[in-house]
Amino acid sequence: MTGSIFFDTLRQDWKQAIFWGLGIGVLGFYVTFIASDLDVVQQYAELLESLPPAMLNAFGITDARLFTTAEGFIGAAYVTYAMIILSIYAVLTGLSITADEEDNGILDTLLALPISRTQVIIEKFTAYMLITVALIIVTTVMPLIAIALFNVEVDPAKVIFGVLSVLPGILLLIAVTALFSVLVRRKTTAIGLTVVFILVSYFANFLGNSATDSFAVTLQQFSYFYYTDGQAIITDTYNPLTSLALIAVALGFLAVTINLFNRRDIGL
Amino acid sequence: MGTQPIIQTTALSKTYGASNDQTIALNNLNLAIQQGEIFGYLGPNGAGKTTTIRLLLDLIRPTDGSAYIFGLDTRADSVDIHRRIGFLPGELNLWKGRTGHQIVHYLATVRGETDTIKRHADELAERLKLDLTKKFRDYSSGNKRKLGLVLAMMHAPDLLILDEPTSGLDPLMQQTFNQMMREYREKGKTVFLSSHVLSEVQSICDRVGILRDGELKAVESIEKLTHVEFRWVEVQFQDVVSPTLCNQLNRLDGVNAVTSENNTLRLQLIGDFDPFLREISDGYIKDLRVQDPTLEEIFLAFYSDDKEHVS
Repeated sequence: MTGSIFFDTLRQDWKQAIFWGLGIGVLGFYVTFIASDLDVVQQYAELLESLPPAMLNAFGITDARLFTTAEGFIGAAYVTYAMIILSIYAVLTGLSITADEEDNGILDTLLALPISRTQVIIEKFTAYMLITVALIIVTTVMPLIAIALFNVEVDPAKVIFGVLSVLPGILLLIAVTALFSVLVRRKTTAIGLTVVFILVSYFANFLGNSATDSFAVTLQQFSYFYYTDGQAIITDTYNPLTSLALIAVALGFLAVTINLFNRRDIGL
Repeated sequence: MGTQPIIQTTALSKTYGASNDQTIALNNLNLAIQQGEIFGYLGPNGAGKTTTIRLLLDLIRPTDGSAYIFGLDTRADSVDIHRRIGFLPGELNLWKGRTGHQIVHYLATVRGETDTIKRHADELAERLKLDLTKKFRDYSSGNKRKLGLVLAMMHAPDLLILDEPTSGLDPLMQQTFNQMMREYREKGKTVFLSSHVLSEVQSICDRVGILRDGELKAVESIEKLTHVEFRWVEVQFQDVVSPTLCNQLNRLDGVNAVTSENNTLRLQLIGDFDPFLREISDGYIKDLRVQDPTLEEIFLAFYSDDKEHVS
């Protein structure tokens, strides 16, 4: 029946949205609490400004001056690291689409039911997309609570959109992991390939930020980190089209995943 | 019996590996199974039984040939076919943290007819003495098998495809299973079951197919298969059997696998009894027993290239 896998996935995995969201949200709460003291933020910014720009870039900080405002501090110290932590979540979730159940033989029973392979992938991906949205909302709520509790002088809208801007990148990673799982079949190999994808993306973005007048700038445009810049909201340079483009690429990967999954043998 | 086979395969083949290092898992399988029969699919491990089942279920794709179930293409119409099929995999793996009830509910929901299916699942579980409140991880291998049978049969499918269904079931449950299969047949439904334990198949199947190294060696009715030419003959003499008699019998046409122990002679006889009886008529015969070969022996006879293996 249409929707049964979708609802079952939601029912089984909604708790992980809460746990991951709360875990990351605690970091957001803590960072926002620190941001409430602008003196601390200023001192931290001065410290960072004394570091070489390349080193800052390595940690995803494009401009140390961002740290002089509470919004900038939250954007750089929370959103950037939330993205990195959420990458782990995305890999685990991507494996849940087909790899986990194929690996332990459950998929044989599932695919012997009146349900197509396409339906399995679409329903699971849609369910995980909703779970991920819920997760991101929880991670957004935590710094907002801190803003309210400690009277932090920031624009809450910027914090909300800053955190939400990581969503397309996470969806892309889920789709990439699902694609690798279908492509190579072995779960460990799929994890390895996804980790390589993340690292290559990260360093492509880092090199592009560091060597601004080289080929690295062109290369940077193939990195999903380039399009999931949590600081862009803070600096008012955010372009919603980049998020839409990332979602489109994620859906493209998903289409390829479905195509490959429909053409190959299961469980070998 | 219906005119259109429930399962029909034509030159169905499956190979694995690169072109220079190919393993033939199934070669040129031509099979037709009619409605209302219980078909046993026999073969040792690695013969290609599970490969055939996975091809029929569209879990793997054939290298060559085609398969039809209910007259529908197993590749193009797999969803429609699966609606009318119940499947028990050789090794049942399910969600470890879910109870039997939760698994039944989930799979029934996917099938789209929850209440009827759940009621039937409860009846089946009661008959198989299976506690559905336990978590899957807490089931013994026998109980996992029972749960698999419940899941395969709960929607009363037209065709059951069972991979080694009785492995792990105790003898009492095997009898219950056999009875359930007979009832299924009486309702005009079809069962395709694989096994390497021939005695299980012998008691319930109408026909069996014997598979070896990916090739179907024979398809016969159980009656015909068990009505083979050779018989086991055991003769008990008054005196100890002499080696000379054994040698003479070994030279006799139609006599094979001669063994003796004290005053008992055992051999395999093909054809008429008269030449054999004349040969042993010098001794005083206390007892003579004739035994038909078991299906295992017939099975081995199909497999062996020389008669040595039959004995």
